[in-house]
Amino acid sequence: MPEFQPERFIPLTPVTFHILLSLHRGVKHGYGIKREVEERTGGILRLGAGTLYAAIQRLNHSGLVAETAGRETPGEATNRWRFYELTSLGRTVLLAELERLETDLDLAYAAGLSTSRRNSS
Amino acid sequence: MITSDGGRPGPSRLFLWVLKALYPREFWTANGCEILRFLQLQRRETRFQGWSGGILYHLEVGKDAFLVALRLRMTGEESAPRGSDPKPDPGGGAKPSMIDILAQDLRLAVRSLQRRAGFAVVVVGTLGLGIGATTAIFTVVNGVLLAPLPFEEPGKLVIIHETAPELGSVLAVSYPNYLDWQGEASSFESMFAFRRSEMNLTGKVDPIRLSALAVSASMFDVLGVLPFVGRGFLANEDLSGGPRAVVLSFGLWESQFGADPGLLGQNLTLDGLSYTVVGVMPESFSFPTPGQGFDLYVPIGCSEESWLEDRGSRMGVAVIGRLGQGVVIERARADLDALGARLEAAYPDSNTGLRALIRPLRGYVVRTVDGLLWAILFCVVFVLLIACTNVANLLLADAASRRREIGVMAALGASRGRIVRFLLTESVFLWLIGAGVGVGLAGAGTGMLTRWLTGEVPRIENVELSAPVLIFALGVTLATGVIFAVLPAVLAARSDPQNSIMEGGRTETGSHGQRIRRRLVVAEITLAQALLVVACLALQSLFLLTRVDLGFETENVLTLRVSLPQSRYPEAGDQSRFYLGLRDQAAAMPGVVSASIVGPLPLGNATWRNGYSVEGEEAPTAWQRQLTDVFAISADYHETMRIPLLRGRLFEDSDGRDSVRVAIVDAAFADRHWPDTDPIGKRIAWGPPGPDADWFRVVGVVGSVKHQVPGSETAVQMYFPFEHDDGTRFLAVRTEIPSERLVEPLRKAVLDLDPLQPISAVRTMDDYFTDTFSSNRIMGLLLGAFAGLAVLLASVGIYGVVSRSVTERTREVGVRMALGASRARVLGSVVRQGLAWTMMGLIWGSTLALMVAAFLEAELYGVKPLEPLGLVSASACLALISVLASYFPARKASKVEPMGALRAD
Repeated sequence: MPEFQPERFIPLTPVTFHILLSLHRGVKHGYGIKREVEERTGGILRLGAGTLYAAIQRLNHSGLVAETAGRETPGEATNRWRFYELTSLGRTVLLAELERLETDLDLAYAAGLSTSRRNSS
Repeated sequence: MITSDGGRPGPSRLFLWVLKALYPREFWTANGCEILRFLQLQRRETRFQGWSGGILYHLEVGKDAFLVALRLRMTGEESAPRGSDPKPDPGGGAKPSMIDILAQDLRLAVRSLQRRAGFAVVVVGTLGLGIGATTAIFTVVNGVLLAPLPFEEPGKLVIIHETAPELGSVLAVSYPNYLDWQGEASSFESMFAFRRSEMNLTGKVDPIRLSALAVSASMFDVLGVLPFVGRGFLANEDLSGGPRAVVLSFGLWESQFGADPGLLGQNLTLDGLSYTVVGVMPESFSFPTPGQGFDLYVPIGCSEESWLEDRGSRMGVAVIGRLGQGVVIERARADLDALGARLEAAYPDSNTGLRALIRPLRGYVVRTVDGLLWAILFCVVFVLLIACTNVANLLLADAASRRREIGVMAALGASRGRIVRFLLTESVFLWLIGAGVGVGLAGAGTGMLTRWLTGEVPRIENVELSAPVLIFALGVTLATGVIFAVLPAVLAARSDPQNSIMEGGRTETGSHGQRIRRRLVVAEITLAQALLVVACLALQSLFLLTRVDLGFETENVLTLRVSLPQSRYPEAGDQSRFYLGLRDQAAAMPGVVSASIVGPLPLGNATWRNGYSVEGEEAPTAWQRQLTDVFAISADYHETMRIPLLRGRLFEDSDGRDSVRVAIVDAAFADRHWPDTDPIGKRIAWGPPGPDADWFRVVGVVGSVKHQVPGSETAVQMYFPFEHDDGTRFLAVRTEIPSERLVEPLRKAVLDLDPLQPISAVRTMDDYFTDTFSSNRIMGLLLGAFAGLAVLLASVGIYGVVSRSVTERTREVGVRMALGASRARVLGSVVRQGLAWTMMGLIWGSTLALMVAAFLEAELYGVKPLEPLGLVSASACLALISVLASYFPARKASKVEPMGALRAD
């Protein structure tokens, strides 16, 4: 297990960020992650199978997410999915990224930059 | 294995195999099963449903897999996390797979190309444009020209007209002749007659004007198409006096009657008569021109009109025949010719000099566009070839400039095979991306073309990405890849490594490379010249067309069409009273300069042509040999259209039904029959002269008008007061205010006169004018665009090659100047050589252009294929480009101090 250094992982790529975000409220399988990301971003971010599993594999190795259900074994029913959950490291990294984003946003607003959306609210 | 549940297919096994081969083995072992499940679920998403969804699915999944696999392999990040973790030992010294070797070469190629991004972008863009444009045009050609018609055994269907071989003109079929063919011609399995018309639907809905096709009851059998619901026509419904039946189109059934199945057996009022609905055609059915379906179908034989029994009447009938088993079209032709001779003997009055004209239906349907489309396909293939030539040039030049790098590789022990593979991987990689860009562009381009050509080109809705198109695109891509990516790689690797390092690329490329490059330049100039000349012809013709003098003025004239049904206007004079009332109302409207009635409308789709005879002249042996275009008009028509009066007078309202029959002829008519005498007071009649001939007295001569698509045969013209005959008429109104402001008042005027009367085709004469030339406009624009693209690509290519070969001769220039040659002399010799290549290309190109123009001859208006303007200006343009391409580098070379050039490495 690598050392506990959340800052090593940020800034997160959009794909990583959204995968972590979708696991934040519970355990999901790969396709479930994809569906949630797609719904949340209104179809702007559509994860392909390769992109998703390459990212999950990376996150798994880095210890940001972990598998919860057992791997399937040969001969078992093929519709048993692998499920993933956020590890405490993953949660910390997600929060650290959030903090970074907020800081950046605050800096931008302080510099007088804002979009019309923020002005109207 | 992958099973499909719910009957819906998952990804195919072949596709999965490709995916598996793409991904690194470790990744697939770890994630393969999960990815399979993922892909199966993904396949069921709504946006991947249907045929196009399937393509989208494979494209998206394939792209994702390709990119991810490439990244995994190139970063070596097969199972390692991102970050500082060391790479795990990959597979413990397992033999690298083919794909690993490829990945290694790819990695090299990508790195090398990243250093030369400009080069890569130019190559990919050029290839993409070429492949994309070619595939898009081929998609159209395939859908329109090559795909079979949507009928049963469409190859056996022929369309039959009549013709007077001596005149060479195509005539409509006389219905009694059709009945004889049907009864006696043994080479046909079956045949049916059809005729376009229009009918007013009233009663159940607001009055609307519908397009109708009158057909024989045998249509359903001949085409092999059955109604979607209900039945076709029975034989007794196709006879005069039989029960009136109608079959609706799917579109009409849906839009007007809410697709109500209960409509079958009910009655509709068409042109004031009651018809029983017996069937509805399938949605896909459209005949004779696919995509231009009719609203409804009625039996052709059920009307009581006289032309059904009059052998001399030709009311727009055409016949479709299905050839019998094993019968070739020539035999059918001989069969009908023999029958024609018998009919000629039996009915000399009406059939003298007439024969049947048989043509394959498919060729007939696309006859207006086939030459055009083939020519455009030719031209776009030229663009592709120029693009490929450019790419080959670039690759050659690139390889030449890397000779030292390649020499070093060879000297360090890389085998020739290894070097070729390295160069090959690079060019194949570029070519693959180019092909991808090309296919993307082809998709977008086809969509654009389809939208643009809808309504202009028959069968355009049939254009889609289909197997032949994909095979074509694949073939084009492979051919370009092999010729233009493999060849330069092999050539480049052939150089001698020692020489390359020692000379450092200082000398000219060997005579071999020089020769290849010269050929490429000649080829490029040839293709560009051919395209430019053809495009010049097309644009010239378009230019002439748009300013052709029609003999009348189309500006500010609004027209609308009215057809009064015989059943509601049964008495002689009923129709003319309606039309005159309408004209008077229109003329009284503010903003209207002049209003009149005419039928048929010039530049409209219909023409009216009659045989005629002249009093005092010997009667023509066959009346068809002497034809005139006929227009039924009201007084003021010539003023509305601004057709000049040359002699005599125009019609007045008093020339109507009850007075002496009068006529106005055009200048060509007068010149043909009375070149030396005054035509006023002479008499002409329709049909053969005789005691019962109905004579018209000529009262005026007006200017000739061009009232048909340019290029179609012209006849002389005559006008007569419209009150003498009933039929579809147009109201034409010359306005001094924007014509759209008159549309509503005119509509209201028609409804005031007859609330049951629909009007249709409210259009300006300018609209008709524009429509008449639309195919010429499309041709001009497409060819112009391709020629522009070709010239741009070719100039870049020519400039690149010529200037490069001149630059390589810097040393030679230096030597010659050191030996005392003057600058002008050296410059001259370089430019002369460039010109010599150009001349050769220009000659070949002009020859090629003439061959392509032959395809286009029917589409060219007012220009001959050998038009000098196009040849000269295209030649001058290309010559200038190549002179500039050799002049500037030559001048630069000649400015170099001689000793400097000799010393330069």
